Amino acid sequence: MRKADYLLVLVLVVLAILGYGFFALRSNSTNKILIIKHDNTVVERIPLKGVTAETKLAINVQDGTLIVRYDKNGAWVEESPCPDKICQHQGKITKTGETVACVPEKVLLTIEEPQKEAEHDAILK
Amino acid sequence: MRKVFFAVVLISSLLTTGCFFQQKEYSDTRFLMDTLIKITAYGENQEPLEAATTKAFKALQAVADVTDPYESHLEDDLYALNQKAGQGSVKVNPLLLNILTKTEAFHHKQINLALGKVIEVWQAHGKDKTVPTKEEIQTALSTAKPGAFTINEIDGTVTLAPKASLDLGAVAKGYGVETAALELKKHPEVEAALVNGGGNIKVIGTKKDGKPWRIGIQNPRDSKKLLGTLALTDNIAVATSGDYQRYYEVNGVRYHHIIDPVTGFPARGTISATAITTSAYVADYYSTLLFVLPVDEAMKLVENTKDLEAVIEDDQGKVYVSSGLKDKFTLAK
Repeated sequence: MRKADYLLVLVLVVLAILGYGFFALRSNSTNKILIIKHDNTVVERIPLKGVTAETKLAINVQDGTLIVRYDKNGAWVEESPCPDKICQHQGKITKTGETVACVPEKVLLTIEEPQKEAEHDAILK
Repeated sequence: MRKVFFAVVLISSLLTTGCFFQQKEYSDTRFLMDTLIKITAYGENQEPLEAATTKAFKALQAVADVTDPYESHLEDDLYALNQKAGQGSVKVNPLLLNILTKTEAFHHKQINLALGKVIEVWQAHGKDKTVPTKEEIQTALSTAKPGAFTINEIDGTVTLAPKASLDLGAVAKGYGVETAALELKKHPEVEAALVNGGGNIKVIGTKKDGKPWRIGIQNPRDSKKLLGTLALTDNIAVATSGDYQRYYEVNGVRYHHIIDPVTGFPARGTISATAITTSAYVADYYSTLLFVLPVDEAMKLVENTKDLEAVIEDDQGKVYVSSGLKDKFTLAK
């Protein structure tokens, strides 16, 4: 092996360590994204890190208006015109993988985080 | 020797940066069959995963359409069939015929697909939070007697007795989840996948890290807690029937949606029944059946049925776990 080969190896190793550090750091800081879906389409994708104040979001649904509130920690359904109000009772979601769904109005809130390993793959309800 | 050293360093560098063997994940969630269904597919490239998932949802939608008792989607769907009760033999969609034929082949009197009228009564009372009278239930039940419907497999027709009405709530979602899983399996690019329909889950393939799929079962009395965790391998389906998702209360008594076909009233004694087997459709069928049966009888049935395991919690809070789950189920603390 010539000197240049060693240099190449060194460069690759340094790159590898830098790259690894970059990804590790990135997933440690909160990368949570709030995803709001209505009728199977994404209405909003909100990186929670960038949220500075409690924010209200109104979604026009079948029976009227559904109000979602979110802050930098999570989101909840404040008001829904659906009859059973299960979504309102579900409260605030803050952890990756948690969801609030209003099935009658077809609204879904989820918190996702790129490449985060959850404790369970799924929960049977 | 130096070359070996060089190669080792190069490969390990690439591995650390994650350029090699990076399994991609694609997931999509949709509202279907009166619930939320999430499909997650794993493989090397994003595009084929997306295409396979879209196809799987399409297959699921087809099942949803033919089994919907409340709305018309096709000329030969369940809604159309129920409208034609008492009008002789009716040509039905092949998919619907398949679900009916398969389910009838189990021959268990505690699963009755002709409870449509009874369910209608409960839904009407659920809206204004009242309890139907025994007479009301008896009248509805009289439309669900043996012979309420007959299937002619060769002609592809079903005959409904006058006033009879079919409801496939016991199996439709499981059948849908299974159909979606079969569609995903057709795509070799999908290395592993999870179809999650809330109470019905199917896993195919093995996760890249080789670890088993971890499926939590919700605690029936505390939605923030778990009853326990199942660790499952390739090609396994699980379904849970419980009294805690769809119900209403009158004077402190809970009226849930799983009807005992003999009494016409919500089944009592069990609060959560989970069935584990290979097909999501069969799992759905058994979770309903195990919920309705007295728990001793249910556990006996599980032990005597091949490839069937179960976790059942009774109304006293006692948890029953079938013998085949010894190393696969962990009770939550």
